[in-house]
Amino acid sequence: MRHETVAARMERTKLVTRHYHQLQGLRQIPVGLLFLILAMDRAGWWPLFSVWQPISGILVFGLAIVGLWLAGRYYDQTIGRVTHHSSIKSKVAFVAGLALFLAAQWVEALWQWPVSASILVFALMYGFGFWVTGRALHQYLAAACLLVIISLLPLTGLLTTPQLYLFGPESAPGVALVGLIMILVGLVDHWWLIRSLQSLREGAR
Amino acid sequence: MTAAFEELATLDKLVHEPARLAIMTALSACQSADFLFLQQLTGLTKGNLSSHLIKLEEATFVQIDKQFVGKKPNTQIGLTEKGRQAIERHWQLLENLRQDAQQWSP
Repeated sequence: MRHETVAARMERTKLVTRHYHQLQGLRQIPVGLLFLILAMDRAGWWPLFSVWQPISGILVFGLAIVGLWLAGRYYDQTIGRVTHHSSIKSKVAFVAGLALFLAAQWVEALWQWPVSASILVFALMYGFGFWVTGRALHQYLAAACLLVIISLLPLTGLLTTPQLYLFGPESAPGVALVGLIMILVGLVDHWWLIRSLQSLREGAR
Repeated sequence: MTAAFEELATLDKLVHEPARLAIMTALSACQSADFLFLQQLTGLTKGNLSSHLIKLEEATFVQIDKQFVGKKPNTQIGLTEKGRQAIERHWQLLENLRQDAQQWSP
């Protein structure tokens, strides 16, 4: 076997191990579904919210948490566990992401921008994910680009800014689009992880 | 070219074996990983993976901790400082060799 091939395989081994938690894409599905249900609620297509409020809301959040736990359990039991040294960089990124998201909500509540600041923050987070993973996971770049395009849709007149303001009463399209992207990226992450493990095992034979 | 051959001779065979190289490379990218993860990553059988880990543990390259997660036994494996230095040195040597080889003319 050529050295380059071995080196490439070892790089993939490092990438999968280093970003194993990010690649557990099925964990994103319950969160994405939660966004879709919230979008349905905003659109008036989710009668449970108005019938059993607030019990149905708590039930939906509870189901999302159970879904997250089940997805984590699936990865722990079928692929295994990896622990990492707690890095200051990831903690700073999390706090900065949260602060940016809150700032975007504040900005959108005060001013009507021609672009969606909330969606741009999501785009920035996916862009950061692409950069952190050594620019190897193109699904994050694709998601970031898609979200930038969505955030600019009010400029075209296809959607209005309030429709993309995540906490507004008209936000069904924005919340649904973010949820869909989360689900798609999650599915691609999961597929990428499974395919990488498979190719690493085959390469080792 | 002599220097390259001298470097080649200093490659640690314990680390250079493909399965152990994969194990140590994976462990160099995390604090620790469990037995199942290493098995999924390398495609080794339980017996083979165990024997490689025993060799690495005997060389004090890895530390193996057996614990219980819930009621199930779980084996966590992490690189020791010596192991981390060994794999870093090994990759550096391989990189040097690759650069030397590019300069060779037929």
